[in-house]
Amino acid sequence: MSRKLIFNYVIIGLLLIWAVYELAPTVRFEQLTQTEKENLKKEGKLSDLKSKIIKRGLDLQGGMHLVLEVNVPKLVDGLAKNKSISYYDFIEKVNKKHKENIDEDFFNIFLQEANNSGIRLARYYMDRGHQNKDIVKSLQKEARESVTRALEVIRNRVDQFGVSEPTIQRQGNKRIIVELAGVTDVERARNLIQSTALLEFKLLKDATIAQDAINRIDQVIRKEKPNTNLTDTTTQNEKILEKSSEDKAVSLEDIFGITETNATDKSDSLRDSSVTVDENIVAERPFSSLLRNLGRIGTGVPAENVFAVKKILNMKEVKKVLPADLEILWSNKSEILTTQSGEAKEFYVLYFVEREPGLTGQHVTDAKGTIASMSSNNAGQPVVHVDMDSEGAKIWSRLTGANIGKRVAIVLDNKVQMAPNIKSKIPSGRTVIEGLSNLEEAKDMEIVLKAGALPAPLDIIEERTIGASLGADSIRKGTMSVLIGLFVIIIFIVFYYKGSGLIAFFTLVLNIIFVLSILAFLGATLTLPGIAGLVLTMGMSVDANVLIFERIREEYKKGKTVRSSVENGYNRAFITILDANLTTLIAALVLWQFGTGPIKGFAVVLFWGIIFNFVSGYFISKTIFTTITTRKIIKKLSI
Amino acid sequence: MIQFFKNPNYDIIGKRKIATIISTVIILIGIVSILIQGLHYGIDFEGGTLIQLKFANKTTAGELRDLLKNPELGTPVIQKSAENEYMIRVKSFGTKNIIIGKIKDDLKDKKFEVRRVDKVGPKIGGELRTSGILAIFVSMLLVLLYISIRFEFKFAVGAIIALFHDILITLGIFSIFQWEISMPVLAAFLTIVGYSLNDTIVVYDRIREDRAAYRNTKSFLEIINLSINQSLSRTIITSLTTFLVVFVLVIYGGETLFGFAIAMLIGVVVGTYSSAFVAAPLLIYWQDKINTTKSKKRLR
Repeated sequence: MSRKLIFNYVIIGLLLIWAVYELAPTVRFEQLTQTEKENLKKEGKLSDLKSKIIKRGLDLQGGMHLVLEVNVPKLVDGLAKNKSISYYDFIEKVNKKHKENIDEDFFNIFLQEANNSGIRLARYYMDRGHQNKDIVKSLQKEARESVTRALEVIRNRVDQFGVSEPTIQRQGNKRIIVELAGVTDVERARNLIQSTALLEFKLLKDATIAQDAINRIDQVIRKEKPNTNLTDTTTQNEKILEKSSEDKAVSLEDIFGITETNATDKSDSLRDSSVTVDENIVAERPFSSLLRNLGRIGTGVPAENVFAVKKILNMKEVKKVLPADLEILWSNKSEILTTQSGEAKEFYVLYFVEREPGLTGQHVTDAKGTIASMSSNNAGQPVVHVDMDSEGAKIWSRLTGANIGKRVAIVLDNKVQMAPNIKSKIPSGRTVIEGLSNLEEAKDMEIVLKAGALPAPLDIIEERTIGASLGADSIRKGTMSVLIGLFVIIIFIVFYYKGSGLIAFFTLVLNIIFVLSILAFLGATLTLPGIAGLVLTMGMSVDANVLIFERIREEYKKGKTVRSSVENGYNRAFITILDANLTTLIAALVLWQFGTGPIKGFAVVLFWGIIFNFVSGYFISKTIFTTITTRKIIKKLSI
Repeated sequence: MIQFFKNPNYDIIGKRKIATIISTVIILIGIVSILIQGLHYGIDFEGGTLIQLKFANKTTAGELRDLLKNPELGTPVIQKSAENEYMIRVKSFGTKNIIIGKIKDDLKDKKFEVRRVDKVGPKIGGELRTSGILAIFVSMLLVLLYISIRFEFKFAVGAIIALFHDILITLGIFSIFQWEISMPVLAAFLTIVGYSLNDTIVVYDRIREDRAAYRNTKSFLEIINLSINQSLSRTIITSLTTFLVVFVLVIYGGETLFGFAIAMLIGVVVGTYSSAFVAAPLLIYWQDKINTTKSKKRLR
């Protein structure tokens, strides 16, 4: 054997050893039984093994894929202070324009509209500069940075949630991709990731101020609809409802806002039922007639009226007449109460609170979700214990000390979790949050409070969930497709090319093995489209062999010896294979660059398939052929 | 030695006029269909909600259609994906679980397992469409560049026109049958780009080689015809194996891979045809045009 051939075999040998080394963990993992996996887990070796096997995409193992986007309009609106009537007019116009040209940058529209309507943004964004241009720049920076911080917060939350190997990455300027393998409780995972987790402590306004606000709203409604009577009110409300039921889910969200999880779904299903009004006062005080006095609890809204009340509170005319420092918040959950007539009714509660929070969750240092101990006054209930840093404790102590006898609302994501009476000064900063339905909810609140609040509201713009059983099906089908494809090829190619066909088939199998090895080596993910890429690689691999064999046959027919036919055949086919494969490689590279998710998975496999096609389809097959034809004089070529 | 063609010598170039007519007609029918009924984009590109359910008991599509009466679902598209397994598609995209909840509500009397839920916002759908089209164009441009360097500019133009030809025909067929264009189908289109080029390059490569060998003895037209014939065996064998493998995917891959596999299947057939009947003859049209302009210049 010539020196060159020996060198070739050394390279091939090394490649094969590498492939076995890379693929062994995957093969071993596949053969493990459930109990063996448990044992390895106890020994702490499972995660080590798992890190070496070929990763499976979500489409093959089941899980959840989320794309989140920072809601820039909401972020900007949330940062505004001292909102006035002209601000509401302005922001309404901006949002309308933004909805019409969804592709244009929000900040462009924002700045343009501010300049056009002569709005001095410095009035609402004081500490961000004087010129409108500077303020927009500062807001833009804030939006960009908020994605980075949100990424961190989500990572913390997911880590504590206990998902193995989550993928959390930034995409572009305002998006975050989260991939959670094997997650089954989709609803819970989604809430955990998406909830802003903004914790605020806000003092309740005096009852007289609340009553005054209600009166003002009553006046506005009467002025807007001067001839209101009972039937009119009902139909008017029903009209609102009818209109909304035609709306798509997207616009509904605009009415409600993204943070209102529970109530949205609730009122959503109820919105085509009629509202209940208090007959005695509806003509005089249309807004009050939708409300009920719940005594010590506060102002109640019967569940069926929630939609109408929200609609009214969102009216621009209503916002105008309310004091700037007053905010009206909803309760987190409804309460079932028995009315005077003895029937059980479902109520939500409206809270009239100070707009500026007395204290926020940024001072929280630790949280613990648990069942309250028997000695405490909320024994057996799920609660979350919150600890604050020294500054938080100082503020909290001052706040509680100065307002004994008043109520303070504990607000999470603009929903009032509870509104206890302040009985005494709390010096330590320790607080207990109640009003949770179960321990799981308490645990989730612990996670989000510990991980911190999201710096900006996030919208889910893409969500894909794949069940584990579907993933298993896909693996089965994918493997089967590859195997059947191999079978078809071996039958065909051995029938057509005889012994040479066998060599071609051998190099084809090697090609697949090498591609899988590099996937394991790079820690790349195999997806269903990736398997399709593998099938295509098989096609390309066969093509390389066919090109070579046809050339050899041509040379052979010209009457050349076996040896020189093989030599010439390989050399002549090389240029063709190179050009043909390189053009496909270009296409694969573009796919890799531009593609998202599934396309990328396909492109990666195709790319490596082509690379290894040169190795096995050309180099290895040539080495084998040359060995056979040089060792002994073969008179006839099996081709 | 088994051979499909023993010393093939077909007059392929002579049939170029017929081939041009056939190709033009098929492409025109496709374009008319795209103009009239458009393309059927899946939720990947249009946004919407898809839920795949596997029912415990025998269930028909008609039954589901009757059950899904909620006006807010619009007209859901119901597609069978396996025995007692269906994909239900609605246009609306809710960030919350409203749509899914409604479907589950409507079907509460049936026992089923949720196998897959896809929710794509309309904005992201549009973006995916744009980036897909961009990907096709960028890859075309790069390939044009590559072929111009390795061969000649006219070869590059021929290859790109053949490529357009293949993609237009495949798109047209997808429009005629209103097959759904999803993410995997886009991947298939991009593979067709690669495959069609692969085929064309093999023929061009032969032309390049033969031209060097027979520069003085044969006309350009004869050389091209010879090259197509010489690479005919290879083209047929490769196409046949790829066809068989992809055919397995069509039959066995199930509903999820159907779009991908059928697009590939069409691409393989059209790509093989175009490399012989479109890409190579285009070089002659080009040459003729240069010759006529040259002779016109000479006349003046």
